[in-house]
Amino acid sequence: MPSGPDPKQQAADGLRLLSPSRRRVLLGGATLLAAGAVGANVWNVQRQPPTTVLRQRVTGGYGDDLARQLGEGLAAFPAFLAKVKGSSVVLKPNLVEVHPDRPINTDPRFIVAVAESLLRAGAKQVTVAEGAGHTRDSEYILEQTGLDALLRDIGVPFVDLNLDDAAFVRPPGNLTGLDTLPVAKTVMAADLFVSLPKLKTHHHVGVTLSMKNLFGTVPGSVVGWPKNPLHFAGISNSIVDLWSAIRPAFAIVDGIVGMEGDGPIMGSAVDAGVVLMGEDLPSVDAAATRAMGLRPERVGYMVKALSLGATIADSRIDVLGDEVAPRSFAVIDKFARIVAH
Amino acid sequence: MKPVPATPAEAPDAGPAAELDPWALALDRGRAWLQRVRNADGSWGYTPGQQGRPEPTVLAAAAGQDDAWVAVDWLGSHDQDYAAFLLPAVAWLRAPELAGRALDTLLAFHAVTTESEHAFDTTLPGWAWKEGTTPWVEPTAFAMLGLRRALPDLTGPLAEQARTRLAQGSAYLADRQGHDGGWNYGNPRVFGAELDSHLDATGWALMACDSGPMAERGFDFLRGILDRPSTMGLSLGALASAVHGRDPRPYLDLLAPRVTDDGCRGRADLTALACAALTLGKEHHHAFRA
Repeated sequence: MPSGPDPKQQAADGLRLLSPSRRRVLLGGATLLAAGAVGANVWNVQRQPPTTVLRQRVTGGYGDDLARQLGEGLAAFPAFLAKVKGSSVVLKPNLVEVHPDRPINTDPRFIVAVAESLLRAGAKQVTVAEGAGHTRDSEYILEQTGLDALLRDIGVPFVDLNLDDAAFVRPPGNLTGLDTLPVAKTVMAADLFVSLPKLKTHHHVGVTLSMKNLFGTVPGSVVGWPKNPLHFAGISNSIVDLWSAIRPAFAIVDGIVGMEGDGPIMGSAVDAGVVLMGEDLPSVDAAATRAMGLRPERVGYMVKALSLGATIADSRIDVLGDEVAPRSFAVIDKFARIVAH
Repeated sequence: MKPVPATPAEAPDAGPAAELDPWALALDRGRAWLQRVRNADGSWGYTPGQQGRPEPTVLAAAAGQDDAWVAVDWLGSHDQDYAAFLLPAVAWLRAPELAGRALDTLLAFHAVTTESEHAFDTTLPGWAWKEGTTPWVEPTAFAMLGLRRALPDLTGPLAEQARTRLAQGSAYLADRQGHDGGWNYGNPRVFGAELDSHLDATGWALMACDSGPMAERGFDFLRGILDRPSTMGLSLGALASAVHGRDPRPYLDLLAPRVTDDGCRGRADLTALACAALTLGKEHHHAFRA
């Protein structure tokens, strides 16, 4: 995790302040002559593949119309929907622990609405799966959040990834130095794996979104809790290694009610009313971070992911959908540097 | 441990036939399911059909009292991982050689300690889920239960070592007790915020710790299980209560209906833990603390 502003990134940020056409000119010609700090980052921006993210304003909160609205949003991704038909899909929400007043978890109604949307889109089977990092009592989380009853109503099973057997996957960048990472077989065996995070700040890495959510794919029964070896290997390194090894098919961020401040469990609720989705997780996370009024270019793991083909530059992400003014999420002091001014 | 009354709290009279006792019936259901889903090699996976895993296999040893419940051959030929810490507690007399080796393992295990600045004492030794990582509440409680079971039979330097490690475990639990009296996984405070405790970690910690003010505070939190029940929480609530002379019956009454003909949610670890708790009622036996 960077300890302060990265001068190379600051230079790239400067490019972003230019108009798109001016930016194109610079990127197309002058960058060949660029040297030093600026050159390295311009190269990175150029190399970031263009991606698409949908930013969708949701009306009615987690109400009955949510599945329909999400279905409309998913229609912006015909290639993904084509893959959904006849596929087994594993949805990975963020379930951590239960508190009545803090929006810690991906909302159960959101999870069910996504499941219903994908079943309507022709998924052969949808499974909800999570390996919570704090409490080992997944039944408690399921029952106390109400997710258990909601999943039963629609006939969607839940798999506790903490108890799953592990497939040992080899992350291409091996930033952790662990060579292989244990990932639940349920995740690796899915035709399509979808990350369903909550829009939250995080007191260790700034923000927790679809990439950080992948910690829950590592079985606790193999590595222990709270997934401690991943902390020893570096949280940012582990996030990037998990993302690059798993390469999830899609991400949908529950930002209808998010969390600011001392996330991921002790923060405060933010009625943001937004959902972000897309096929490229770093892009979704970068767009979500901007929607929080924060700067993905200053989030350590997003920057680290650039070397593995991630796209986070605003100029490379085609953001479809609704205009949503960034809602400035509060962060703890140590992350003041990621706040967009 | 105080003897547990032989009848459920809600029973209309004191002497129901054993076959109508909901605790006994639940125990029979749970054990029958566990036997059905046992792997051919004697082990249990977390779910039926899964290859053997140490934790459910060790917990299953706590579900029944006779020797057949201890998968000696399987456990003896596999890495027991953190479940080794608990093994002496459940198999000390039934599989002494296996339990003795597990005791050696837990005595030799040292979690990583650091001098880093936290709102808790990171220099305190305890037990970790994995080698090379820091101590956490549940594995520390497992190891303390293993040490407590073995200690009366140990002599000389080994007994001294066990007493020292047990004291270290107690100090660790005291340091990690949360503001609400319970325990979470092991970080009671982060960046100045008092974190919430968890019922499961609290149950194991209470089972392992001495009676006294720390345990009293713990029960203030643990009682919440009755309002927010889960199979794991209720099982641990009953088992912890019995250790400290409290009445486990309210927990057992809520637990019994959760044990179905398909076990508890089709999970061997949960079903075994529930059976271990239900033996308090039927057989007046504590599976983890003699």
